[in-house]
Amino acid sequence: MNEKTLHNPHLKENPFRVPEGYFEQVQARWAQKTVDEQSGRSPEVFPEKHDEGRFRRIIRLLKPQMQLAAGFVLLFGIGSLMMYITSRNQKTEAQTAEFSLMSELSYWGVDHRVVSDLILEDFPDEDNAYVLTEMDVEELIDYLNYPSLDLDEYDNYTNNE
Amino acid sequence: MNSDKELKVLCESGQYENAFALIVQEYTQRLYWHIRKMVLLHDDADDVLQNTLLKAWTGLPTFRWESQLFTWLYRIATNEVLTFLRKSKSANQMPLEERLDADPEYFNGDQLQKALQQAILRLPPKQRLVFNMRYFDEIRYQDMSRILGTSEGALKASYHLAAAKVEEILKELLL
Repeated sequence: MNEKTLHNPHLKENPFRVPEGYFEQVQARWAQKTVDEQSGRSPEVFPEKHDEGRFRRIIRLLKPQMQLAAGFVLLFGIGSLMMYITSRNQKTEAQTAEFSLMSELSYWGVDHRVVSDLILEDFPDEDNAYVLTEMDVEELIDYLNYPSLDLDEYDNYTNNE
Repeated sequence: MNSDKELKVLCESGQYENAFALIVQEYTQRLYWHIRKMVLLHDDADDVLQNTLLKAWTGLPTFRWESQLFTWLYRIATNEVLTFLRKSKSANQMPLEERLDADPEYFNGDQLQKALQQAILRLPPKQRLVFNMRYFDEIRYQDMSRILGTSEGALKASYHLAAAKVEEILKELLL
C-alpha cells in the first residue's frame, strides 16, 4: 500500500495535542457554571424560562393551523380583489362604449342630446299617454284635420248605424 | 454511555444541570476535535467549544428529542465553526495555512501528517467539514446528512471529490 495515499492508517492518527488536563478543566468549569445557574434554570424559581419553552411549544403546535388560516384569508382577499377589479372594468367598458358612440355622433355633427331626445320620443311618458286617452273625439278630428271629413255626414252616418 | 433516553428523562424532570454535566462528560472531546480540525489553533478551538456548549446549555430546555442529541450538538458546533471561519476571514486574521506552524506546542504530527493537513486546508470550508467528519471521525453519511442538512448523495459526492483532491495535493507536496 502506498503510504502517501489516504489508505495509510497512520494518516488517520490525530496530530493535534491539547494542554495537560484540558478536558477535565472544561468539565469542571461547566459543572460549576451549571450549579451556579441551577436555581435560575429550575421551573419553580425561574418560571418565565419554562413558560417561554411552553409558549414556543404551543406556537409550534398551532403553526400548521395558523398557516392554513392565513392561506384562506389570502385566498379570500385575492378573490375579493379580483371581483372588485372585474366589476370596475365592466363599468368602465360600458362607459367607454357610450362615450365612443357619443364621440362618433359628435364627429358626424349630431348632438348626442338630440339623438337621445329622438329616441325618447318613441316612448311617450305616462302624462302624455293620459292626455291622449282623455282627448275628446271632436278635438281629435280637429287635431287630425282630416280634410274630407264632414261632421254632418259623420252624424248621419252614425245615426243610421 | 448515557443514552438519549436517560438524558431526556433528566430534562423532563427539570434536572438540566445533571443532564448537561453528563452531556459535557460524554461529548466534550468529540466536539472539541471536530472543532479543532477546522480552526487548527487550540485557543480558537477552546473559544468555539465554549460557545457551542453555551448554546447547547441555553437550548437544552427547548430541544425536542426528535433527533439524536449527538447530531444536534454537532450541528451547533458546525455552525459555530463556520461562523468563526467567516468572521476570522473578514477580520483578516492569520490565514489557516500559517496556523499549523503557529502552534508547534500543540501540533506534533510528522511530515506526512502535516502535508495531509495542508492538503485539507486547500479545500473549501464545507468540503473540509465533510472530509474531516468522514475520514477522521468516520461519521455515517446518514448522520452527516442530519448534521449538515444536505442529502446523503450530495455528501458522498462531496467526500469522494474532496478525497481525490487531497490525494492529488498530497502527492504534489510530498514529491
